[in-house]
Amino acid sequence: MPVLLVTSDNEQFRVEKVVAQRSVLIKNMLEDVGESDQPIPLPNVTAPVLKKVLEYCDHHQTDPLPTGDEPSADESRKRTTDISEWDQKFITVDQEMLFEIILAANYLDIKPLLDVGCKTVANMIKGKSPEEIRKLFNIVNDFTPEEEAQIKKENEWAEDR
Amino acid sequence: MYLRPRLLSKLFISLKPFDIHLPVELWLQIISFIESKRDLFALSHVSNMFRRIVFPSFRSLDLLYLENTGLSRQEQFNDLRIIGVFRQPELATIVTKFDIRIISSPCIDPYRSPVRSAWHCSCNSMQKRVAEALDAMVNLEHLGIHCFLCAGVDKHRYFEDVKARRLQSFSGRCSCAGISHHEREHVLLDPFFTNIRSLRWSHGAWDVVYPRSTDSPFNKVSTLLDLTALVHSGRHSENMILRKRPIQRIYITNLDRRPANFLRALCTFPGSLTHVILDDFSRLKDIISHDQECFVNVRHIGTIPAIPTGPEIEACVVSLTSLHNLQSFDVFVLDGRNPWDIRVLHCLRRSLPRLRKVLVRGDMYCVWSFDERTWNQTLILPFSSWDIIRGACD
Repeated sequence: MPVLLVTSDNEQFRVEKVVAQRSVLIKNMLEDVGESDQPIPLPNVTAPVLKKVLEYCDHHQTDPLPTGDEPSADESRKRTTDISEWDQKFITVDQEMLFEIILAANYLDIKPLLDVGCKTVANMIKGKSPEEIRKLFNIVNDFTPEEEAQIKKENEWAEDR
Repeated sequence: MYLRPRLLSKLFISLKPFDIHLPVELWLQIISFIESKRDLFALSHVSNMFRRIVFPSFRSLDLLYLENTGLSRQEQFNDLRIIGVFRQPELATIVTKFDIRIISSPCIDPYRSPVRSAWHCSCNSMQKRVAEALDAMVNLEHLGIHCFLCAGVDKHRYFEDVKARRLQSFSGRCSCAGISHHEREHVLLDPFFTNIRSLRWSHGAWDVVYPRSTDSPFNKVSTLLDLTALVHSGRHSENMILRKRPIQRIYITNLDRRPANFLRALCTFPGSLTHVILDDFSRLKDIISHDQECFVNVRHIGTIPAIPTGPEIEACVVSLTSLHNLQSFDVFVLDGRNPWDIRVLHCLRRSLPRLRKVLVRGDMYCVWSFDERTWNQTLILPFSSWDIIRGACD
């Protein structure tokens, strides 16, 4: 049975229930309302992002769903940044879309997609200097002069004395 | 118009085509995928938010590849830089667990490698940096060191004049070349180890080359006074430790190496064991029958090898029914077979009524715990026998 999803920019997506239920948020909403034709509003997701997210859900629709008794991210998840070939191609998007997908995966509660996005950003950080990371992610250097002095000192400690 | 570099940089940022920011909780998830301390250190210099979220990850510091050969110049430089950074008090005080491997040459047998002259080798400068970092890590609780230093340098200089006020466990492995018996044995006399409670100390040819001596520092009760947990690898020195100290937790390996000496030490040791782990579980029955008094208070037994079916597990555990205080054990599961389920555990409680915890490792890592009514399974981080002995799995 198809499900109707409505994005923040009022675009409608009709998708199979099995695909939509990759999102724990949508799955819970469907369970709450029962059998209904009512559209499901997704006010935090735009159409281009939802289209991308649904592409992921469609490809992974037969994957086993994460269960509640799985360990938390800090516990037993392998801290590997390996990403499957299909997921790598899927997540090869511009940085704006990458961040939008991460935010949407977090909002829609699609943990495997969230992991793919987070691993991709982690891979982008590896081997970069602080200044390169700031430039890459548009992060403002908000250190006070005193804090800058402390950081300079930390870098000096790194050098041989 | 002249723009200073910093202003140019800001101008560049403002011209970026998007301005989407991720909330802190998502950055925390991203950072959980970054293991390299170099990358984390770089992140801590990005902004105040990153500094706040990255600092806690420095509590456990693993620098397992501090090598002075086998890496490119840049990699060596970076690794030395990181250990150098943790000489800085503000960062060093965060560290409570520190594991480091100091290797002179990972590809060459040190006993055959030529003696390097001081200017060819960075062993001394690495030791100096490690010593300075250890001295600054005033909250250090757990230290693991594997050293593999060149023949031509003084060894274990990194402990000299270091004050670790809270060190609880030490796991050391010395594979250094050209070190004397005296130097090796006296490492643990350093004030650095005065208060440790858990010890794993391995090295080559300790008492193969050198016969027993009655004037060993381990014969003095005042050495390693607080020790309660020991990894016993069949060495004479470990038997001496066992005879004089109230060890409670022991991990017995290499039992085939002079078992009679170990059993003699067990008969005279002044403590009462609470945790016993053997790498050869089939020897447990022999050891218990040799001196049952030592095992009266045993609460944990391990490591039960991979057993394919429930009935075989029940048959194996029958031999443990004489341990009336047994509350937990650790088991291996291999080849995708995990027979440890609720039915088996309920059966086991009939013969071991105090059983309330089973630590499973191998193909998977989990703990089964009994909550007075039923058994619950929780996935956990990988652990080792050493972790159980030093209390990290309690």
